[in-house]
Amino acid sequence: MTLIADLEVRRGDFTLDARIRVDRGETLALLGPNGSGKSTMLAAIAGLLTPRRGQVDVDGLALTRVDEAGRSVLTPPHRRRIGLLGQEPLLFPHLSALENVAFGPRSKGGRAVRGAAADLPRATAADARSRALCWLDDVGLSGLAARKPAELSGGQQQRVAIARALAAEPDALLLDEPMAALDVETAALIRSLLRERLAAANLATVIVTHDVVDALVLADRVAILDDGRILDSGEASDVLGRPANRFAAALAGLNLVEGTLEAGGVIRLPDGRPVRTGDAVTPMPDAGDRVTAVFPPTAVRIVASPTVRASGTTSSDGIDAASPAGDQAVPFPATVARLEPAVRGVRVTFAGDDIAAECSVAELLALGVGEGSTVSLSIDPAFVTAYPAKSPLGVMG
Amino acid sequence: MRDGTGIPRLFYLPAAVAFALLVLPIVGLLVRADWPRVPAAIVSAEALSALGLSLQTAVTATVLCVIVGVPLALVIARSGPRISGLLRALSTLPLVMPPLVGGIALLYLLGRNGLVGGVLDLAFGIRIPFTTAAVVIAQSFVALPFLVISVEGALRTAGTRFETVAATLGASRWTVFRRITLPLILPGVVAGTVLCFARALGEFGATALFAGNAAGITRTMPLAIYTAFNGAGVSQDSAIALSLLLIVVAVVILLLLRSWRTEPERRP
Repeated sequence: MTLIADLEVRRGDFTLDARIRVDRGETLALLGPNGSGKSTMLAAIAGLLTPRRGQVDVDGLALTRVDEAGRSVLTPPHRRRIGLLGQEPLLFPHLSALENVAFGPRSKGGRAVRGAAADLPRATAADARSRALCWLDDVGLSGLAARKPAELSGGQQQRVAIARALAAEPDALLLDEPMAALDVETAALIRSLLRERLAAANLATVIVTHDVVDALVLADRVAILDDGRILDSGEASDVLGRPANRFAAALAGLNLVEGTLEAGGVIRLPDGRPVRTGDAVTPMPDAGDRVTAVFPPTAVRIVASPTVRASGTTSSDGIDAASPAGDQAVPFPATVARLEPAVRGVRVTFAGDDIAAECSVAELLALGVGEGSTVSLSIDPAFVTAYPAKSPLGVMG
Repeated sequence: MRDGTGIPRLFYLPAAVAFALLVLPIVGLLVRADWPRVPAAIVSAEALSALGLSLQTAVTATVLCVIVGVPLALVIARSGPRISGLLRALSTLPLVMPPLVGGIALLYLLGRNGLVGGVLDLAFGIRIPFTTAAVVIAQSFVALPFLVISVEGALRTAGTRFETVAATLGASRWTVFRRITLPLILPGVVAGTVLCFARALGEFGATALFAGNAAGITRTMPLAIYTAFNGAGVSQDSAIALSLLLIVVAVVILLLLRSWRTEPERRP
């Protein structure tokens, strides 16, 4: 059982042109910024919109097939056996939790039947209810079966929605940011529940998200979608550990720069700035090849410029901060653009620069810098990892 | 009492005027009524015949409106913006059109020399004007827009998101309509049906022109009231009594709707 989608969709200026492949029992995380085309991709797979060109196959059976000559196959959504679970639970408000879950089994008569499913008769109302109760039990909510959606919390509603999607026994499940509308704690619970349920259901699953935790917990493979194209795909350790693009780097919490490798482990950025790497670049690129370098924001050291320090009240700490990496790192000037809260202190971004730095509040106070301050930055080579730039076209399947 | 968040005090005066305008005429009617003679007027053969015809035609017209109006509302609500705008404007035309004009229009469409009426007469010998069927058609013509507007509004409020989910769960279009769309818009359908029925029950202008005023065939309550009031051998008291009867019927319907609405959906 394999889901293959190769789709081109146009909406105004935006073009989605992407191909994914997911096997049964596998979960693919489609990561991308807002407007990258993730939800459009899911809608086209579910048959909710017609692509300009492309195909959707499940297990070799064409559900969508559109080419220059026009559409030749366009199976309606209800005959696709492809489930969809969105950010909002969208439980039918007039039905109880149990009836919501039983909806899929009761509707099954109208589905395209294939393989073993062909032998399943349409469930009677009683049968559908008893099956629905099992599914509700799987998500820990059999005690609330009689409740209407309005009487359930957001997390409970999403659990019912998961049970409802799985109870329809789809071949493939599409998840569109299913945790985005929940608070952090509930999201974590629902995420673990999904992992457990997906493992049990043995489906081809695509989860669209811009939360890296969703990808780490739920996905076997990761694909990065940006501006309608898949930039990178593969194992999470590769795509997020050695990111090929800024979005993946940002998800992994890393700064990413690209440049050419020079002697002595110096990476020359397009604007001429040098960034040193402490490690050898593996595999070794040919001379002049582009390399990608990533480093955490904590590896970026802020040193107050003398002009700014004139008014500062800080002690010798600030001066010390300038020296430790000074033997190798090459400092360069920057202007502080914004200070934002970060997990371990303050995140500092700079005007006209993609590099972000992170330091503790104490360090920042000691430096005496604020928004608009001119500083100089040095990047600790020990934390810079470099690798040959990946080809921008991710190849999947 | 809330303070600080209420409505501007200035509004109480126009609100009182509006309320008086709506309620005082009915009070006037109640005061003017010759109460001792009301029961006799109501149970008179003529009154009962008019009431029977009114209920029969209004119910028939309402059923017709629901059968064709709900699908029309669906088509309007689910069409693209341009088509739905055009369809909505044309469908609600009878709302802004004087009913008398509607009656004339129906006469020219379905009359013996009309566009469709001519064909019906020649081919099948069917003549619609001045029959009970004409009453039903006239009532449907003026009442249908109320149902369509109400149902279409409910459809727009309900949106298509639940329908999409239902489809991905394997439900066919018909199943989606029956188990999701219809229950979601049911309050709108009921409200539209009641409005539609009330409008059909009170219909006068189009009926008078297109169906005429034949006792027992096309003389519905409003026509009977008009006839009595103009003093065709009967006193105005009879007109008042019939008016009261019509008001009572309308109030009973409103109360039925209220009780249906305030009872929350708690079917097991």
